[in-house]
Amino acid sequence: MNGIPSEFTIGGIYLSPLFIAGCLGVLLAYWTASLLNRTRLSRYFFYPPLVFVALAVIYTVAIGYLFVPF
Amino acid sequence: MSKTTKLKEAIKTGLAFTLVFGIAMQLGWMNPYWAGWAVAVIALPTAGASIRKGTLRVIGTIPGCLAALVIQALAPQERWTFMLLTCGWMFFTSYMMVSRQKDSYLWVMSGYVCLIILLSDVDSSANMFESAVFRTVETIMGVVVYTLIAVFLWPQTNLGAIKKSSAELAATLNDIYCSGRDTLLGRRAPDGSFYGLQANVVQQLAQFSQVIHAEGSESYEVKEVSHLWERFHRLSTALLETTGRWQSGLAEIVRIDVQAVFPELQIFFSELDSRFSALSDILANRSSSHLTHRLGLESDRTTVERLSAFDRAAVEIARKEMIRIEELTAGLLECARELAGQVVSGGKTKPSLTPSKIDRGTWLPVPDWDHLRSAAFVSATTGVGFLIWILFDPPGHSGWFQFSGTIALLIALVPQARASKMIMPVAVTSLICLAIYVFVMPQLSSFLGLGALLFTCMFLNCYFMSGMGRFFVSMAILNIIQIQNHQVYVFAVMANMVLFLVMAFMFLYVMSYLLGSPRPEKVVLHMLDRFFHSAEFLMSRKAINYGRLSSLERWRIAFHTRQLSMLPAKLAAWSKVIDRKHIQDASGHIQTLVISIQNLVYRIDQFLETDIVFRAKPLSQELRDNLQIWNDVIEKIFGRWAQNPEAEPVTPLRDRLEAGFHRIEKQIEEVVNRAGDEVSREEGEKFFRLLGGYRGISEAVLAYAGIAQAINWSCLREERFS
Repeated sequence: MNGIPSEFTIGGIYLSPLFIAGCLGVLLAYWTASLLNRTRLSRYFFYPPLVFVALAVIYTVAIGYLFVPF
Repeated sequence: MSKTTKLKEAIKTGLAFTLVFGIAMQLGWMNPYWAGWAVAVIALPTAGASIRKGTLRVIGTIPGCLAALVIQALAPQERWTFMLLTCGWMFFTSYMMVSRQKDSYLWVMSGYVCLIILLSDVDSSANMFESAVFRTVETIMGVVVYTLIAVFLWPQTNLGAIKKSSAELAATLNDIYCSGRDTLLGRRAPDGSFYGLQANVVQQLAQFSQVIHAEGSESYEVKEVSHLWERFHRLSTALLETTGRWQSGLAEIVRIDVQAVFPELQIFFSELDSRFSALSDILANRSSSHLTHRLGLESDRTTVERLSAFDRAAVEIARKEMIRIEELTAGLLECARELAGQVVSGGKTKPSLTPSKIDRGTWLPVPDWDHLRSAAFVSATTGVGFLIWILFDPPGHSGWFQFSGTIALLIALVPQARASKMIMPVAVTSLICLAIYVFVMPQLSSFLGLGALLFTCMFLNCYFMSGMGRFFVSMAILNIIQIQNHQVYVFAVMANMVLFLVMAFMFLYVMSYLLGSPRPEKVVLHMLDRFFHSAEFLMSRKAINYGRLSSLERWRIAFHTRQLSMLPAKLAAWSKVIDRKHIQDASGHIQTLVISIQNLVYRIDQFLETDIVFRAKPLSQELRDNLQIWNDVIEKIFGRWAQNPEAEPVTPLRDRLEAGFHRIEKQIEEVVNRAGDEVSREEGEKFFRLLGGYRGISEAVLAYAGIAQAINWSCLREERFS
């Protein structure tokens, strides 16, 4: 990890690091939302759809900062 | 469908699919997959249903093409005018699509084809007319090829389905009538079996309507008498409504000795029994010797006078509904006889089909709120898709405008199908087809290989998938394995296409929040608010003289009346998709609540039908005031329920209403004793109908309050990630 953005290659196909970080962010946000639903903690949010978007953005930025620089 | 039939259907669809590609490619027609789409969509289990859908597809294509040409002619270089015109057309077609069940598919096509033609060549409009012509020709070719195969290869005919469906419908209507008759005669206690039967009839009516059109497309003999089958359908619908209203009042009348009140009740019921039996015989092609005798149902005045005022009101309401059932059964029997060719009456017995609706008295169109929302959703999705395309131009390019609008049409058509649930199947099927495109397609060098591939894909799709699943697989086959006359393989384009499809469904999921939460429990709560708001409005207008209302006020009355009549069916559809586990409703209270709402509609209908008699002669000022107070109380209850569906606990509500009942009953006795013979029979009947209307609403209100108390509303309101 040298902090320089670099593409991912799958069989010669180049994928943007932002795309990968975004996908992982959405997946993690989805998993967190399921957990919050199961524990009924979601009821404390005023508007869960916006919270989901916020979680996805936070996770994407965090992944970008820690693992996949973009 | 048996496995053999499924196999045959899959072979037929696969064969037609391959053939249309072969023809289009042989003739060098533009975009051969357009013909493939026609086959994939019209492949239905019976020839009649396919012919009908194919016809609607062809007819819908023409206005779609014309609209595209007009839009392009009016705004060739002005993007905002172009967007507004397209969104306007999408709004119109989607509104028509959701409001006209009969030819809904025609409007789907009109909207969808317009988007296809507008973007057939984004760089230039020079080929637009050519695209419109090819789209129409290839659609017709696809429909013709599939129809020929469906007719000549293992034909699955609809012939006879109409008779079978009508016989089943008549049998269930008979069951509903028998359940009411037995309850009234004290042979069984009032129970919930009626609602199960009612749900069956609603399904059978929908199926019957489809069969009429499908068999009519296949047989000239059926088409010739389709107006009679339509009439049979309308009469059955009216009979279902009337029996519903009749049943909803039976609980109040069962403790009265009805046989003493109606001395000719046995004769009345035996005539109705004979009519249902004759109807069943005629629909089964057996001869019937039954001769219809028109009946009245007079009550015994002496016995009636001994009843309490509220019991007299209940008797009067029940009598009116039974007379209506008599009219409708006579109409049904006559219609069946005409269909069997036994008599040509020219419709001597033509009962009015909408007895329950008050005179709307407005020439303005009365829209449905949910239909407007659906149309707005489609139009907004198309518009935002256009903005995404021209401002950001992500992978998918013009597809953001065209594809999003098309899928939005489908979501508007089936609002209970959630866009979030579609993302995964679309991603999986698209990836499978991408693998075929990358690994299989470049190996093919002749049509024999391509044909075999197309046949296999479609065969597997039709054999293993059904409903929306089949649609998604067809969409993946046609969009990802994009077959052109000059085939070029570009991996990046197809990988972007897969990415785009997944992103487009995510976009639709976000857009579905634009007009309110798509979560079923939220939709049910919102609909309950609207229901009680409309009920409150109509109750508040009841005491006003309709003759003095402004046009706007008449339109508002018509609007709320429509809301009231449409919402129970929508509530029933949405309540079925609520996840009961999440709202802790294991005993199905929500379903019972929907039934009580339907009952409330029947009772409000009966009440609104009654004439305004606040100024009637026999009423004392005090009684008039008390009726007005009662009206206000019910109105306020509805108002509170519109804010909060559990606002009225049942026990204090019952005490309050019963106290009102007793006060009014006492006053009525005084009025009747004082007025004596001054009151005409007609006036008396009107008065008791009004009273019965009030009582009916009060009983239905209490029933709703009882059920609402058992529901955990906080769970329904609770926020969740969907």
